[in-house]
Amino acid sequence: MKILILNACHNQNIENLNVLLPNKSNIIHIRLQEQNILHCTGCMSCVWNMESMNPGYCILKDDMNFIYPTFIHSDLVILMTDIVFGGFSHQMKKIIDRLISALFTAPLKKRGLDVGHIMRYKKRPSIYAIGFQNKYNNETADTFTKYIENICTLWDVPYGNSLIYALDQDAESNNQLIQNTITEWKDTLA
Amino acid sequence: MNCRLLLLSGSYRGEKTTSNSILSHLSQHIENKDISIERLKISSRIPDKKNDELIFNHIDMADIIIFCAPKYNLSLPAPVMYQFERLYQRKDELTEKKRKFISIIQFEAPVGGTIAQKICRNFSDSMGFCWYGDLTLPGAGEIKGRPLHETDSMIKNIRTSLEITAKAISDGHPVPEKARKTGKKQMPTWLIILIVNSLIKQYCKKNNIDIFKAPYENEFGLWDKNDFYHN
Repeated sequence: MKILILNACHNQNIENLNVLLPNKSNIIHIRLQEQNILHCTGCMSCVWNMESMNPGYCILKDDMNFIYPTFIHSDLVILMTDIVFGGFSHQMKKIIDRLISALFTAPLKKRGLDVGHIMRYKKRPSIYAIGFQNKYNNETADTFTKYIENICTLWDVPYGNSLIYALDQDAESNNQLIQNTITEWKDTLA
Repeated sequence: MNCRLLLLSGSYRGEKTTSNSILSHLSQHIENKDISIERLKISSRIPDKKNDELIFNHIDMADIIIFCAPKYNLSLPAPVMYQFERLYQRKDELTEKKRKFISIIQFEAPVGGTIAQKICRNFSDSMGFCWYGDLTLPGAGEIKGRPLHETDSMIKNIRTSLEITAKAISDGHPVPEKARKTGKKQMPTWLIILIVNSLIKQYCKKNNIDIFKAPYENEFGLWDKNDFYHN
């Protein structure tokens, strides 16, 4: 299984996570702080801008050039982010915004409660989001969970889920949570 | 007593943006002369210390903040999240004052916006602002940076919603339920999908564009290389 970890967390030790991941997995771990990634300018030339249309390509040239194909050909993408007001941190959101070109085509389709574009690639990775909080906050944790549910519906991924990792809870129970989650992945993705 | 109203645009694409058009229309209909209006926008550069400082100072002085941003992949654009993070880091430096916060989320699609609004609400609560309501404006993509009085009947509901909101703010009230409901009214989803898809199909046929091109189908990125490890 090809697993791509996109890590936008500050000061989080994820070595435990690697140990917990399924055996015989190929893992690429990208720390977003170390990448040169510009933020989306909203020109939409990759999707529907009729004047400068270039379907599937982003006009910006940066480290997203290798993240796009890596993302598309992964079986599972783990998004690790600090939870910011119930959403992704800006580091992670930069990637999410830029993924528009790799995910969507111009034509529309009703998807869940939202309206999304028809997907660009037939194969898409499953998504698992791990949201970190210094102190457990029910409001933002709830928003984050719903956000990931909606993202997974909009991106039409085969499997999607999320997990809240609160740093004020003891490490053992957090690791147990991750272990349970990975068991669930193994069953679902097998 | 003079009340300071800050219009904060979460769009960073320039001056002619839909967020700017919406905020302009709103400010034009605020009739209370005791309300002084200032405008700012989120910077397109990250980080931009000068812009961060400017936004912080204006928020510090404001009595009412009206924030308007586009919906981007269900949430707010990355530069907005950056600015929210920066403001939260400095929230203890704000002078003690009851600031009111209104969020307006606009987007092309005919439905959605709930998550983006929830994030705004969480931000407002975390900053200790007084939540003064929200407007969700689907179908706003048709505005395309034009002044709202120049737009056609498709934008009528958005105009009405903003005018009701402006009246409420002038009278010192939060966003009325009527404004929220009016702003959300749209053409049926199926009709929008039909129109948009027909236009795209026609354009692509005329210009010989393969809209479904998948450029990375045969590129594998880092999966081709050896710098990953096997567990």
